[in-house]
Amino acid sequence: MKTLALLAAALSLRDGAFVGLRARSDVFYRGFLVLLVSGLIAGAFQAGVDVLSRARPVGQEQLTEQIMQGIDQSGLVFPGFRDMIQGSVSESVGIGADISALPPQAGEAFRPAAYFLDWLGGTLGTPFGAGFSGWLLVVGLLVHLTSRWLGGRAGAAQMLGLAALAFAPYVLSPLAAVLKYIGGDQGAAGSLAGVVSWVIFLWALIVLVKATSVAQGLGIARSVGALVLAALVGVLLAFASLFLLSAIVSGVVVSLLPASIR
Amino acid sequence: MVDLWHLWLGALFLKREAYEYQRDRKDTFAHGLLFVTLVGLLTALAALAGALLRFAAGPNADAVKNVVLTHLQAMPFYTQSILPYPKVESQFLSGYNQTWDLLGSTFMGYPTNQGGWAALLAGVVVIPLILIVVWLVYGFLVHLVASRANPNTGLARGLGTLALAISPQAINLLGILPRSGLSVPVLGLWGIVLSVFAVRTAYGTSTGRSIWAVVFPLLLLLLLTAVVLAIWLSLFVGKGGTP
Repeated sequence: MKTLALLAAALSLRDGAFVGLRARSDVFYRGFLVLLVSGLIAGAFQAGVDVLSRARPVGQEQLTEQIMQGIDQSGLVFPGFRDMIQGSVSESVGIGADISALPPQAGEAFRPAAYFLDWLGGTLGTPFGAGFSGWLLVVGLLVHLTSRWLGGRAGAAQMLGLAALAFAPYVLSPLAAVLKYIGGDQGAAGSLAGVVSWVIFLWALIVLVKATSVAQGLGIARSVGALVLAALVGVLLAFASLFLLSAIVSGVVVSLLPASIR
Repeated sequence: MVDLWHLWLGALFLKREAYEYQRDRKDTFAHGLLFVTLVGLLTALAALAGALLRFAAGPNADAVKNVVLTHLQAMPFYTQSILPYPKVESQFLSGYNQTWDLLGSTFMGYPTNQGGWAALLAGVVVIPLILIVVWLVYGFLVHLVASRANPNTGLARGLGTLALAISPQAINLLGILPRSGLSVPVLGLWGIVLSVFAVRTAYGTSTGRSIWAVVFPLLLLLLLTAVVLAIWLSLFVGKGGTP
């Protein structure tokens, strides 16, 4: 089955496509191609929006105001410090704006090429970054582990290959990127972008459940259980790592303090 | 070259045939050495080409340094807490320059001094050498654990098959382009997964034992780092002094 056909079949949760992929010797490669297509499309639009934002930046005052609104809404600022924070935010925005305005070392005429290279890098790098390949490996392996606990019988290549199909819905993420660019974070377009992102995420979860069920030979209920368990294990591992890291850092900091303070 | 391309693709996507092919070669060690060297060379050349591209496409490093400093000096914390005190201001500027010397090249994506460029050029030789040493040392430690389950697999065969685990590093080729956002932990994790597969294929062990064989050297490294850090702290910090 060609990659685009497999992508469409993954979106529509077609049984035959999942089962057929599982049986292939190059299951991980074929599944990854679906992730690659989704990642390239998503990356192309997001990188395009990023380049446009830099090429035609929002006014500094407007951007500062947007950031300060977010900070005010968080409720974390003491009233007396607001002016100081606003000053720092304004200068930080100024740093970004002034650096963007500096010419490329190859000359101002090279700027369009520089933007194109930025766009190309953002596009090609997206499928191999943390948001796609990273999530595939972490989530795919965690779900593989918990599925095996619940009686699953897939190999790692089969699990990763089918789990990669869960990225098929991200082929629609350009819609969210464009809405966000048009409307910003607030307003109708911004809210719609949020809704689209949630729909894509939930759709991806459903595909992942289906993929786990077919790959591991489990029922849907057990597959959902495997996903929930994987999330719990992931959270536990994250807390354990954080705890270990903070124990090491605080140990180092305490040892660096003068004896009179310790 | 076509052979190596298919081997790389097969290794990257956990194709059993690729690992079995590498394991069963008569010259598995030499082939593995070639594989590691080529990946190292690609990585080093990509780093060099990427730095050159960022140098051409990016702004001048000194100009960026001055922009950042100008805006920092306009911030309220600076005008209120640093500017009125010449000694503090002098220390701030000294610290700023030191930080830039240390981190400027990371921020800019290309070396900001001649030494950095020389190191980048030397990397064409050094990076493949480092990868080879890491492969040999890591592979030896993996062999110590994995060979207990299957003494019939020699070190050369183990190393030759394990060489395929370096395949994800070739993706660093994309780092030539700016803003490619490649993640070192992602490529590292991918490499660990491939290592487990390679050990399972080379030594015919269970997945659990393969995972232990792969993780053991990493834990050893963590332990060594902790010991070295503790010795350094006790030697140079002692009773709460500064290093």
